[in-house]
Amino acid sequence: MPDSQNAITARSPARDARTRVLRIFAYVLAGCALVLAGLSASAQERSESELKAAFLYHFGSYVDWPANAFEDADAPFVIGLVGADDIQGPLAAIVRGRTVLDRRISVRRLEAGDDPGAAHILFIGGSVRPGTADDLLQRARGLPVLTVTEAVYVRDAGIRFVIDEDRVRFDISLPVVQEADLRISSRLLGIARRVEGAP
Amino acid sequence: MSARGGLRGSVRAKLLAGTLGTTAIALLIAGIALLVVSLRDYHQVAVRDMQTQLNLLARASAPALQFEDREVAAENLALLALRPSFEAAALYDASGQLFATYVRRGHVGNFPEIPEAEGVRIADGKIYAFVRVISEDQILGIIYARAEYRLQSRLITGLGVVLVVVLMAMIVAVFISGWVQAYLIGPILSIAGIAREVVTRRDFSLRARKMSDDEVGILADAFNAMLAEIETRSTELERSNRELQSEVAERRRVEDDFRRLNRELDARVRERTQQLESANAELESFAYSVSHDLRAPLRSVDGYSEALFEDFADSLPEDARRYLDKIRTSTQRMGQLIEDLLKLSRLSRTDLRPVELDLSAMANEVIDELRQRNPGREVEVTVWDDMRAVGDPRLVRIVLENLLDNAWKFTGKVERPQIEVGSMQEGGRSVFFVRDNCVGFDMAYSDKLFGVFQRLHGQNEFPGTGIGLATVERVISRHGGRIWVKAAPDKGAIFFFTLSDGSARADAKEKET
Repeated sequence: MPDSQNAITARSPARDARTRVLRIFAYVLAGCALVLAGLSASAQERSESELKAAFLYHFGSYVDWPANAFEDADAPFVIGLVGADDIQGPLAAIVRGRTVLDRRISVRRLEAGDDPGAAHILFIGGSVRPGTADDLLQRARGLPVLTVTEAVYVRDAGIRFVIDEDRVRFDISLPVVQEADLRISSRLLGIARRVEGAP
Repeated sequence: MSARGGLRGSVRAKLLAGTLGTTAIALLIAGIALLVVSLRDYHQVAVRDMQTQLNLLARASAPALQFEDREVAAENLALLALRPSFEAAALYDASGQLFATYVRRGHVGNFPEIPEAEGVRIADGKIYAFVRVISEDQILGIIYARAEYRLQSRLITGLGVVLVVVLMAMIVAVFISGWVQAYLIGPILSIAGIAREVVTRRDFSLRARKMSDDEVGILADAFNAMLAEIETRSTELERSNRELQSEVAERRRVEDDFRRLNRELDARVRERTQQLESANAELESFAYSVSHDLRAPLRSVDGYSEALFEDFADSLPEDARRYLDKIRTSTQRMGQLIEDLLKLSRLSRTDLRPVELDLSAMANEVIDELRQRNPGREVEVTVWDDMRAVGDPRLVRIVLENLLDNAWKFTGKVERPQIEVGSMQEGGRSVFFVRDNCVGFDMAYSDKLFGVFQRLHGQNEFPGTGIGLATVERVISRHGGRIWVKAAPDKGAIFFFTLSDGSARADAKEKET
């Protein structure tokens, strides 16, 4: 990567000097690229839990929550984790300093008895027992909560992670999402491996 | 015909050149302007389209990057297949690694290893663009795309189209020019041809055909009117020429007639003159012989009358002596008559011997003789000094004798008789005159004065034979001179005469003086 700046600077004088601004912008971008490169230097080897953490974070960008999902304008965007200790660390790292829907992000570890409505995204990890998971989902029904799970046995979750050909992918259950009064972006639907309940 | 063809060709060529030039220039300007606008639009559209497409792609590719879905990313990029101008596209992730690519069939990827800054650039007939993929203020990656940029080929195509259009328009213009020539220039060419015909053939009866009601038609009308005017005038001129010619011919004929008549007249005059001359000569010789022959018997009558008178004067009665006296008087008069006639006829026979004369002296001699002959008369005579002339002295003396004798005679009944002899210069010659204050006469009879036996006064009034002035006239005309008279009753008379015709002889005289 060190020669990326050289490559750009070497090419810049050859340009038709269209705008000095463009060239300056190129330096800035090159800097950004370097930073990004540094940040994601380990991206190639990102683990399954890291990927899932990133996905959880990204889901927020493609879902519309109803206005009553937030107490006020400054209320944080809450990602609740149940039985997913392996994800909490990476997710906390990812969301640090970032926002979703112009809100700061709060990652909380929830217990089986906690109110699922406290979270906007409720992730149910694979270590949760089926009864507990169903109970949580049952209680979350009707609440503006995007339920996500990696547990293969859990049904009636909005999004379910699957491992397909060694890649982390996800299925979306439209009826569940719609019951939660959430609107999910078609762009997210386009990424999904499978969309259940699609017309 | 060649000149005419050249003329027509030049008009046609000019018109054609004008039409073609105008067409070509107008279309070239319009075409190039359109081309420039079209190329500029193409460039703007190409750049904007590139940016739009990549922005859309960037937005669509965000989830693929976020969720690490290379397939979806590749599918997204493959949507560019709908846009044939896109040759290749690539999606780089945030670390600058190639995440997904698209290459149109038949093209090569040739992706840059490292993404460039966001922007659009054009190089080597391609348009390159980089657009960042951003979500939630995060740069997720960069989309790269390469597309055809056909500005140059469009320029060439556009120029070709402009040229083809110009060529086609010029072909159309050739036809239009032909039409214009046929319908607009044709009449003008026709008029020009007629004008040429008129000039070369000088045929003013030709007329231009009026083909239209426009300015060319007016031109044809005006041209025809001019031709008609010229024709009228030239016809009139020819007619007047003919009249003039016939008039000239007539005059020449009359002149010829006149000349012929003159010649005939001359010939007749010469003939008559000859006849007259011969008759005159005969008459003169007759008169001479008669006079000569009459003299002898008359002398015998006179002689015997005288003898009778002298020898028998006493025995004769008074009456007989008186009769004898009358016989003798008549005889003497007759003798005088015969003498004068002989003198006159001699004038025609003798040759002129002109010498320098002193007319003053000669006139004085004659006056002296007259005074001796008539001693009782008191006449005041003035003779100018130094009058000189050239002539035959004997004949000129006869002239002076007759004129002075007449003057002497006709002043006989005047109280203070005056006679003057003088001269004056007129027309370069000397004119002599003899003036008296006699009873004079009516000028109506002046032409009778110089005829033989012509007398204005009775014998009893003034004695004379009537031959004197005839003799004078004869002498003067033999000298080539002229005699004329001016007179009025009781105002006297003045006789003028010259002794030369005023040319050669007068010159000779002047040289001698």
